[in-house]
Amino acid sequence: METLLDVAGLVKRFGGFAAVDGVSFEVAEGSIHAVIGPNGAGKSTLFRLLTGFHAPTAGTIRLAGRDIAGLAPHRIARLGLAQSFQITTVFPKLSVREQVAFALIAQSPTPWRMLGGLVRVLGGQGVMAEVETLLAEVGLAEVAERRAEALSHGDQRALDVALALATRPRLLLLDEPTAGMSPFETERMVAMIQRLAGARRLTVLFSEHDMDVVFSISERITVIHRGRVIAEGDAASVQADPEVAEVYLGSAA
Amino acid sequence: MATRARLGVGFALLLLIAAPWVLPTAWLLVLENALVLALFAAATNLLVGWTGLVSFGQAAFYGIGAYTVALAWLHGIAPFWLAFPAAPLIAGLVALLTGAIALRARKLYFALLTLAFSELFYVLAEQLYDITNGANGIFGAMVPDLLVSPRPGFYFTLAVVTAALALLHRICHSPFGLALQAIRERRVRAEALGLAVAHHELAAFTLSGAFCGLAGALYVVHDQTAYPELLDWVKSGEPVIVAVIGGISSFAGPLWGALFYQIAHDALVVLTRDWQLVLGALLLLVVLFRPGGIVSLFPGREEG
Repeated sequence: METLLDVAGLVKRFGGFAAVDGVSFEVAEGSIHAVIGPNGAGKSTLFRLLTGFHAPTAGTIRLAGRDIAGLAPHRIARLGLAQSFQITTVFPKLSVREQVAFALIAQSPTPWRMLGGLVRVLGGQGVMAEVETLLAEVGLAEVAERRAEALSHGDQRALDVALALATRPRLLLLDEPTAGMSPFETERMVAMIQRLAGARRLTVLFSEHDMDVVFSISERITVIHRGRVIAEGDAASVQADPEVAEVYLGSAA
Repeated sequence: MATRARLGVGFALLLLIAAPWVLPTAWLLVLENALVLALFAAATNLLVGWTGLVSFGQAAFYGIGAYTVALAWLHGIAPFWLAFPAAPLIAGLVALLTGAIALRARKLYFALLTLAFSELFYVLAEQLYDITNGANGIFGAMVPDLLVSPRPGFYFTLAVVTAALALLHRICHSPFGLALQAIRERRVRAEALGLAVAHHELAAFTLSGAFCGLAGALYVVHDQTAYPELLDWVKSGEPVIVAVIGGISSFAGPLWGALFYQIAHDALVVLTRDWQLVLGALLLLVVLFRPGGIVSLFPGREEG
């Protein structure tokens, strides 16, 4: 398989502290790839580097061969890397339909888009059909008129993913997609991730605390501890790795 | 727009068109003032209510619009019919330049920078005596005679305000307007979705400035004068207060706010010198108990 994301020698220092300390790994196109590690391992910082919300101190991040390290978040999004956030960050006072439409509209290139936006009304654009497709895909068609703030937690997470999908990404980054979810909601989210990866031929990179989820859907797992990669492989080899076991047992308290 | 909203707008327009034939001149002038204020507040609300950018410097663009017309007359640069349409363009251009600087800061610091620009233009208008007549202001026959008489003047203002509000409404409900709301709701996420947030904020600031400039030019049609206080921070606070009283989360809010504010102001100044005290108390009550403003009092009214 082709490599879609190639991270090499990535470092992020905050003052003297290296939150990410020389991380290298590759994500194959079309795969579901997990990044795991105990709290404070550097996963969130790593994701913020990938999405452009932090600039790396050193190293390269190649998305389909192009170095995206240090680019602005909206540029990276345009290049095909979308993310769903750990803390749900939908738009509270916009309706479900409105914000998915916005996410789609945000994809057309500036500045023409802006001018087009002034003279064209929303309903007149071809995006509305795509909005409905997306809403059906994540199971939100029935609550399309509701404001996001009135949705359940599980629906908000689904909306969060829908927003990310609207950017037509090649790589979808999910930061703890099942955090705070009930078992039922978790099951629904896992099924959705698998369905999307299959139907859209999407590459998914995610971080997760729920090991059942990690081991059930990941084709490849990268384990991070104290800003470094300590193991990588499929579910079986990672589970058998003594260093991984030690890290998790050691931090279990 | 929903059918009900269309009917409401049509009815309001009919009332306004009939107004010069039923209202005494003094009342007509109050209404004309309210129309100009409504445009000023709606233009400001493109930033405050739609984009979530609280500017305390919109009077700078209002004043620049007014001074464009007045200075063009004073120095014989251009006739009224050229100066008037130039006013929003010049105000928009100045907004583009000042916005590029002010928008580098966020929240409180952005508000303070807009306030600083407003004061800067105020001081310029006051100090450049040879150009602006300084604190004395500019008075004279700067508006065509036709527009000075009450009825044509009112209809001119009504026509310009209606057209400008229709355009603003279109902008607010376009994809661009939706993008501004997304920025207001969650700036970081809007950016993560690929939106060039900074460009959109600057575009909103420029558009708002242009419409504020148009309102300022209309003020000159109404009062045939321009003076430095049109640019200062007290004037800048006015459209923000009007928008908040009316309701910043709907397009109609600032319009209702303007009507209410103008009538309340004109009634209160007769009764008491401390009308601002009453206004302040009212503002406090709205913010504390009715953050949705006047429009939230209407039953079953949809937002937007």
